[in-house]
Amino acid sequence: MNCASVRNLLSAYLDSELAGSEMQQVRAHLEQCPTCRAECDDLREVKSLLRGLPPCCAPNGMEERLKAALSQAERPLPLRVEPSVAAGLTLAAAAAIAGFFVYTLIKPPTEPTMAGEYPPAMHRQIDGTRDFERARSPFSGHTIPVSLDDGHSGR
Amino acid sequence: MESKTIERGAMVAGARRELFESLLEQTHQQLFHLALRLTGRRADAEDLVQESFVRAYRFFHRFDESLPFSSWLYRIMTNAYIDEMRRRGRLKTSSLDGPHPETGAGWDVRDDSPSPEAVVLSHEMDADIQEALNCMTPEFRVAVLLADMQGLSYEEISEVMNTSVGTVRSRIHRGRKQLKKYLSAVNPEKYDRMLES
Repeated sequence: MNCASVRNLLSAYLDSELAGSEMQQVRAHLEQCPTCRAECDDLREVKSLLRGLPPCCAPNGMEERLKAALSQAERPLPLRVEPSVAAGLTLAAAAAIAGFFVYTLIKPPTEPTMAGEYPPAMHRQIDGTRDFERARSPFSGHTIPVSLDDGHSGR
Repeated sequence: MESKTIERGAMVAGARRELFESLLEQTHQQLFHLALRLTGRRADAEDLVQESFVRAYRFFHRFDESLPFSSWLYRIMTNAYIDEMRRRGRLKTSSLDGPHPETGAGWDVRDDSPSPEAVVLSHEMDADIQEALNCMTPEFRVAVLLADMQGLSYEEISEVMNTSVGTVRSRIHRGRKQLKKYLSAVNPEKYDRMLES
């Protein structure tokens, strides 16, 4: 093993996390390499400093606050929508509404199937006994039959 | 194991809450200890511990009893911590070469050392080490603290951090080197001498 590969293994060596053969190789290298040995000693001291950190006491009353907070978890989660998703949904809704209006404006008027005739469905209405009057479409300008079901005669 | 999970899932709410609260009583101190070293601030640590317990309680029915409860909590807490660091956009902003982003942060821990000199020395060293921890890459900090402070094996850390043992090994090694570099930079006389002794 060369110095570079040994140095990469030093922490695992200190933690006894190497396989047996690797442990032996690193140990043998450290015995004859003062530079790697110095680095190993540095890492050992860092580990020792962390191990020596004093325990910290939880703040007074934290246990009770934690127990009280558990009640939050018993409530159902509120519906949370990411801002980007909400923006996307708003845009999609706006586009759908705009598309509907554009479609309505440019939609070709319903043409009679033959001169002077309306499609079969309308034909049945016109031929029926109900009262109709012809109104002008606000979008196309064509006249359309309108049913007057309220009992008034519009003729 | 599965049957235990099912039993817990089928528990009435009161019994489930009672079981969880008894586990909370046993583990909240050690969780706070880790949270304080991760965040460096008592208020942040308490928030992190609370967030972790609330998440754990919400998903208690998924707890795998083949793992110790504390390891499961560590996993939840380290995920919550790293998520929060990412959310704040601070994941890669700390640098050992640049100024510390949280200079002047209060650091208040109980010290059981008997003599005043020891208290001063301990506070100084504790503050230096905490500053060094704060400057570490969050993933390195988590790995180093779980190994050196909580005494977990690499295998256990890999389960907590949901990564490979090789990655854990690399994070611990690089984390310790970051710590050494920082301590030598802030107080070379004290730490170089200590590390050389």
